[in-house]
Amino acid sequence: MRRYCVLALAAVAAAGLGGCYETATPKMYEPGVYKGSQDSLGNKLDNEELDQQLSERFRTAAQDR
Amino acid sequence: MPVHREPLYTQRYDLVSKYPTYEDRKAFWRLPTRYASIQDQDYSGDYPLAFISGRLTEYEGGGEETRSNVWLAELQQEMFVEINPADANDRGIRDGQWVWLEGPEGGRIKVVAMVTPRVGRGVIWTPFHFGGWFQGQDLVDRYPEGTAPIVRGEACNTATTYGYDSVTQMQETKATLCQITPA
Amino acid sequence: MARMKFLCDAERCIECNACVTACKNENEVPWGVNRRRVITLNDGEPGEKSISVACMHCTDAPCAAVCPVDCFYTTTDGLVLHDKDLCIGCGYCFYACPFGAPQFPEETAFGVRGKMDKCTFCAGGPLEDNSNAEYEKYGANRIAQGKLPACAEMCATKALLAGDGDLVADIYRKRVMQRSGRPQTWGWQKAYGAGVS
Repeated sequence: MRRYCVLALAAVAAAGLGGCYETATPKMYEPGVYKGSQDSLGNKLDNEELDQQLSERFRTAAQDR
Repeated sequence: MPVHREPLYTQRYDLVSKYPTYEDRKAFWRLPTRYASIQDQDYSGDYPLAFISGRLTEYEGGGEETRSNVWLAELQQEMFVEINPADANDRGIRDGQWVWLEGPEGGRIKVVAMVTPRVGRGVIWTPFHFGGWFQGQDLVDRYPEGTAPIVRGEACNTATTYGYDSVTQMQETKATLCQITPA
Repeated sequence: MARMKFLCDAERCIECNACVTACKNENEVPWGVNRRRVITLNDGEPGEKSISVACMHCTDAPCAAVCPVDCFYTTTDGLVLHDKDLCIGCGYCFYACPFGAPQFPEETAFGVRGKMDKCTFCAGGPLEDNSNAEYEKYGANRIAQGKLPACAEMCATKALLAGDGDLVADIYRKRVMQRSGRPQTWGWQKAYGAGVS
């Protein structure tokens, strides 16, 4: 009985030593920085062509009557 | 010059002697049609408000199709009657209150009052696109399963009156009288 | 680089709600969520004006500033969009927005609101452009297809303009010059004299 107790205590001690550690760098929260996935629309907008297309569409569609 | 004739149900009963309507016809397009026999009686005391009906932007015609369209139904969810603030005040009616609108032939409809300066004093206006209620009761159970329109309301012509055009037999639903009381 | 803007010309708006219906149709917006709505002032009285309001895609967006999980981003042409996967439905953006643009689809116990939904200028969200997943979450992505938002394209009187800010401003300036400045200049009072309302 006593032997089992000692072995159990040793196991717990080993698990405790193994599990309780600290990482060197904590994760920082950066306020105001977008944390979601990237929007593929961004790449298209950087391309001049889509810009031109939208302006052209506006000129034809929104012409004052 | 066309001759003016007062409507069968008119607010200005004093003008009837000067501008009387037609005589009753025994056979007008094979139907007996009454004119003067209705105008003989003065209803303007008990039913003092001129009742006209018109269109809404969101709905069309009888409304069965457009009131079943989810986007249009959300924009206009209730049947209502527009009353001038002075007339509403006389009757103790507030904006958004349920009222009974009764016509001279006994038809009554239960609608929400919209107190607004859009209509002049002595005139009230309802849209005519609604249906599915009759005299205060929602008839949604009478529709077959799944066919009831999303928005139902009183049909304004439940409270309008008899009257037919002298040439075309077109109904005279825009020139009639009514009285409004809080529900 | 174009900077996208909305402009609703209150002089031309006739409160037809075509923009509202177009938006709801194009983006399959559920009942109760109003990405765009038409507000009418002085209804029934002389001087009645209507204006169509949705997210104004602010330069310094208050919704983005207050979001606790930082789910908002601004595209290169000034559109303020958000990531629904990050959204926790706290409602702070709704409190911050002066136009009431953020809308929430649910109203259940413990203040659970569901994911925030708002006008995206028909530019969808951070998911793959014009994919089914993006359509279900964010609605149509017309900008990626080279089209302008459905509301502006559907406007009956061209009161609502959406597009490059410079072009929109040009059109509005031309209109103002044609109308001689304030609408009251040629209105009721000019014709019938002061004191007539």
